[in-house]
Amino acid sequence: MIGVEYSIAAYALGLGLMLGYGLRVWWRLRGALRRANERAGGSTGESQGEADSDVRRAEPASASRAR
Amino acid sequence: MGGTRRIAVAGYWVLSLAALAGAAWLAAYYAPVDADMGVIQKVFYFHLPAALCMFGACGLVFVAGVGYLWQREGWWDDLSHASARVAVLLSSVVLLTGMIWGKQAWGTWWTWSPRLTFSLVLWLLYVAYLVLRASIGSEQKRAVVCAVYGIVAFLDVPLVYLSTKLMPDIHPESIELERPMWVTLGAWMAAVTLLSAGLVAARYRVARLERAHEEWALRTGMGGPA
Amino acid sequence: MSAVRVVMLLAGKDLRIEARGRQTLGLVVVLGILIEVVLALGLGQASSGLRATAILWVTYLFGGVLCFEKTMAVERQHGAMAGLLLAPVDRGLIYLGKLCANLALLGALAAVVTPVGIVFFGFDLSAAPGAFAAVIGLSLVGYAAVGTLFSAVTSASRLQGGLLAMVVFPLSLPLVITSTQVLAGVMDRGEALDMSGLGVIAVFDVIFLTASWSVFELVVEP
Repeated sequence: MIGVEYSIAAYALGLGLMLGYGLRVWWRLRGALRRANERAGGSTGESQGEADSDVRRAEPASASRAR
Repeated sequence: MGGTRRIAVAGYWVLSLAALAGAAWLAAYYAPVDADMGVIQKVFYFHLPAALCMFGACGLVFVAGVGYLWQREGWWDDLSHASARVAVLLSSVVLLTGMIWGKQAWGTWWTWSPRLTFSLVLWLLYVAYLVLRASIGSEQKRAVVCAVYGIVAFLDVPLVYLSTKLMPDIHPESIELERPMWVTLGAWMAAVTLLSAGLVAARYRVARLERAHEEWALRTGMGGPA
Repeated sequence: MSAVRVVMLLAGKDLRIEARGRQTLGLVVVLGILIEVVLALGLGQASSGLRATAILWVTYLFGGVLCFEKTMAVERQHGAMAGLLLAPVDRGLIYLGKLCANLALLGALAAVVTPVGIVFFGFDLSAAPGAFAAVIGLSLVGYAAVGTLFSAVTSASRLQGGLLAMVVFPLSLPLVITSTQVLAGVMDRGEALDMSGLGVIAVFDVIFLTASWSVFELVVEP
């Protein structure tokens, strides 16, 4: 059985890349969804000012990640 | 985002991962070991579908570019961005699996054969897209430039293929496949396509949400209390 | 004014600016010779047609990027581009004018760097000088077509220098691959000029001239 290790390595590497990327996107999607929900809540509730400043504090991080 | 949509998305991912697990089982236990090449031939079940999906992603970048220049809607740009990222991801997978195969089959990680060169140039083309994208500040300008680049890069793909055809070749032209091998290949094709499409969709969703958020922050930041 | 005259005028303007200062050409020619010196120190004299073409391509690629940048940067100063865009001229013609100016600069660069390469590396072009000139000439047209389009894009963005190279090099790789393979066949193996290879380059030229000419307008919009 030649090449078993190499085959497993190839599959692990390829799938690792794809699933790893998937996890990363999922993580970012969670953050984006949370912010979208906060925004929806903030624009209707009374505490709009606070939601705004929250978002603005979070903004640089998301902006640098987007780059 | 209603509950139905959540369930649909979750169902989609469960289906994709199940398809992947099934395909992995088929590749490991069902598909016979190739008489000439040995176990390493099994890498092919992953390698080829990834390559085909890569072309699909590149095509999507092209379509999104044309769509943007035609309609000037931000979502075309987001689609182009998401597809380009997945195109780079898939071409990395194609290159890496191909290199490991090459090490086993030909005893070397890299040779300048047509198809290796072709994959490498494709990878470079779409990495350049991402670099270009990251370095243009103005949103409008970025969208136009990326759309143009996406179109030009896709037009380049057949030319890269034709030019590499002039190089000396050692790649397997076509492989004789038995029936179980076809079944396995089909399963992998389905799994990788589902996974890639899901990744494009998820990345697209992220880009949409982030765009909406930036627009909102800009609007409220300008008009809201200082 | 006829289209040809407009293009000539626009290209003439850029070349006149260049002739007065000779900034770009001086820069790219010296850079090209430096690149050749560095490569010659490592590779030595015995060179095949494959190597010769690739070495020359390195100088053309880097020198070309600088030419494209300079001819477009001229327009960014004092808002010259805005004035040019206001002129009652088809934007495609502005592209063609820039392209001609760039091609003239590339031609001048190649005219100096190629003989220097022949001396440094002992290239033997005597086997097929015509084939060499045809392949390189056609390739440079395609390279300038892509470079001119994207120089208009990148001159407005932050990462200027490296960015144009990053975008134009991968797009031009089909030209490099084809010309190295075709010329290796002609010079190393003594074959006749591979017409299908020359065809690939010609198709590249046609596709990218047409595509760049038609989208240039979208890209230069302020």
